[in-house]
Amino acid sequence: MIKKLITDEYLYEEKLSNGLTVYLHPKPNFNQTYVSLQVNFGGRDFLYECNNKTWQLPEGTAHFLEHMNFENNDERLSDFFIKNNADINASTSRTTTSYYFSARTDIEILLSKLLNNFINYNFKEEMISKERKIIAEELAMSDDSFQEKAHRNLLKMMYEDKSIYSDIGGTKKSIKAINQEVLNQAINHFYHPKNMTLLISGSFDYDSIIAVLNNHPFTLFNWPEYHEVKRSVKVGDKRSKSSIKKAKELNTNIVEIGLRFPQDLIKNNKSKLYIINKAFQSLIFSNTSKFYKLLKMKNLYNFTFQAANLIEDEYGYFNVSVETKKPQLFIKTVDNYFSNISEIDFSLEKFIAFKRSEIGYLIKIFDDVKATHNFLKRLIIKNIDIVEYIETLKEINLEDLSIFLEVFKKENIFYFQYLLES
Amino acid sequence: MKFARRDILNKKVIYLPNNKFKTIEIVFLFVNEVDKNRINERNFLTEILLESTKKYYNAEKLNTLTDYLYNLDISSNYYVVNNLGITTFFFRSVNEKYLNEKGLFEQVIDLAEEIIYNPKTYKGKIPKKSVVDLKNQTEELILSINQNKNAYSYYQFIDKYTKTMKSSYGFFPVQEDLEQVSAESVTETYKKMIEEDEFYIFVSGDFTFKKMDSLILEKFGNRNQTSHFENSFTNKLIPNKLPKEFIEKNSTGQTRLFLGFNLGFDINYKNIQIMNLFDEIFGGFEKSKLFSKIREELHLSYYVYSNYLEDSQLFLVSLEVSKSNYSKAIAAVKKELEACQNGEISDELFNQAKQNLIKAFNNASDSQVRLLLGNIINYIRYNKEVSYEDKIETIKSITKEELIALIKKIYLDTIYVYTSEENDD
Repeated sequence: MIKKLITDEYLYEEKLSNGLTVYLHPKPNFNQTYVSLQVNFGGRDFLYECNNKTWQLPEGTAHFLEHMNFENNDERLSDFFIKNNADINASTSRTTTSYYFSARTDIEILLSKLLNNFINYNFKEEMISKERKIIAEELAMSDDSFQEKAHRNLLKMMYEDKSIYSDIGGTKKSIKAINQEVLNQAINHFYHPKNMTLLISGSFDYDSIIAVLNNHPFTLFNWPEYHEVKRSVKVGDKRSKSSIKKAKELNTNIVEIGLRFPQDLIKNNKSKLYIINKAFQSLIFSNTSKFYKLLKMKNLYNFTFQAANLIEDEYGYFNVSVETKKPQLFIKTVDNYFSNISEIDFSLEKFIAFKRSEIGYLIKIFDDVKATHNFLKRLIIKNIDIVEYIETLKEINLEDLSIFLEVFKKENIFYFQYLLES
Repeated sequence: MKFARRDILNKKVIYLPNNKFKTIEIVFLFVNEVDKNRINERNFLTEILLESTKKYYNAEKLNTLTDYLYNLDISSNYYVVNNLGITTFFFRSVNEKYLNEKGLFEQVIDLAEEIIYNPKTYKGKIPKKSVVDLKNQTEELILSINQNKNAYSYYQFIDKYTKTMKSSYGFFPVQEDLEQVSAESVTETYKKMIEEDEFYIFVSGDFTFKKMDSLILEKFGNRNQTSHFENSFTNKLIPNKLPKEFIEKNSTGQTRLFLGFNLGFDINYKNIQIMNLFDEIFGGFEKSKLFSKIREELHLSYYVYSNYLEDSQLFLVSLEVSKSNYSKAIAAVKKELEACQNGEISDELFNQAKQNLIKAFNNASDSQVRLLLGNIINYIRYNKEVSYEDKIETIKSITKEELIALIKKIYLDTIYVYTSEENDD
């Protein structure tokens, strides 16, 4: 299937015989090609249903397995890529494990090598033990960050389900429980082509890539029946809307605000929700907004002002994070602003500017293979159709934004403060 | 991408034409010898000028306009490159060929002129409120750095490594000078930049030269060019006779470790490329000497890397370890440097590091921003056109013997350890 994105940009979508969905985005004038294999398995997956049974995994299993897949079958995966002038890496998010490489030449050979790694698995006990030590060092690195602690505390206040806020890498205790058996369970339940997507962007030959994919042992392998993994997230109804912690080591106060999206809002069409959410964030929280101007006028933030949003299948939120000398005044000002949000004029001028800005952003993103690849990957992971996304952007109007006003009701607003202990 | 030097504005207008990308970039440069007493002011200007202008008198108006101009990217930075201070104003616009709209780039040029030459003023000066607000924000930034253990330990190390001379390397903010920053000093620095700095314009993308010449002449044709400066590559580091070790104890989980080196050799184009290659070999990627030894063999640290700061001639190694392992890690870094100096660099590693650098230079051609900025910085740094192809040829030509002969002169200067007050269990 061919999809026209913008001007001269096209996306091809193919389904292989093993069930793997493949997306190809050619950029013939460019030198580099980016390839990524996504597995629908992330930090959230430690309690789930599969084949009518409930299963558990130690926290951090997805991340651990990501590390181990670089040591599979007694071979260091990155050695081959480095020798062939390619860069390879991987990452684990709350929802997804992604293995990716970039190169200028020999894409077919490199792709073939990558896929070889996901047919048979054999991890040596000493390698598991080695990676456990490395991951323990990695986990220790995030222990010192007050910003991360503050954000996690906020999410803990907002949601009941641990899968929303626990550390993606697990804990020092949980990774001790990860062994060969655990890794096998994860592979059997999650590492199936039907639970993966492949995205290739850049300067590659379409026909030879398709030929490699169709004839690769990964495609021809006799895969067992796939049982879809089911997750249920307990969003919960938390009562505490504000919490304070104090620390002597702080030099300035950190305030985190969370605005939890009501469950009805999450059920909207995804493309529309995604775009409207972006528009809403731009109008309410960006540096052109009245909110930003108000905070700036009262000197209520420093360089660290950050506004973000997240939409997953089961939940979503806005998050504002600042460091401030005046936490109480900051919260009072924000509270007051949010409670009058329905009276705030959503300026048509700014909305038009937002739409033009998004069109410009889309054109510019296709100027960079890596940026394009990451953009397409984000939409694929979220299961958002890119063409529908672009069409929705053209069609939305100012009135559509009103569905987000619900978010600003008192019951959806949470504050977490990390304050200097005097 | 080849330079096309235009015969306008004292030949300080340079085009880098190509039709690969969907954007047009224009960069305005103000270059002069670095004034280490005005690092804060120079950095303040990059914020203040982009916040408002006479016509667009607040950030809301200015940012709404940049959104309206199809997500026009604007940024301004102040860099110290060797002995030079460079202020850049960067504009990245969608090429109107990809829109059903004419005259977009004219609006971008208008806005560029407005931002650079018509700042919001009060009684002829940059408004006091803008400066005071920025000072407050910078003070808060310092507090923020102080509570971020990675950033704090890095700044403390740089302070020790540069012997409290970090302002001459352009590190911002310069805390000890912050009090003296005023509306007057910022205004004076702005006037100096406009009136005395050498002024360059670089444009890249798909456009008509003649039309661009006329647009630039109309808006910037009467600007003065008065500065006289020479590029010089020097090693400004005041050496320690013996390596100095600083240990700071605080409430931290992981121990941050920094090792700073003195290069000890003459700085020139070739030696800079050799150092870039050595940086890759020593701690630049996962087959590097440090990564292989410290992470993969000894399991001491999750990350370890070396970093050669080409514009400052500083060379450092950083890693995070548990408290009980930091002495072992220091010893391992020293031992790996000695091994390299004794020629223990395999052909495989040497060639792979070369390939990595060549790959990185080649990959720059896929990004108009990287191509343009890389070309500009090289041009200012070496006072001549140095393309990525030139750099690739130089890297290819380096022999292992040349590299070893040069790195023998590197020696350890400063060790900084940021560690826990508690005993390690």
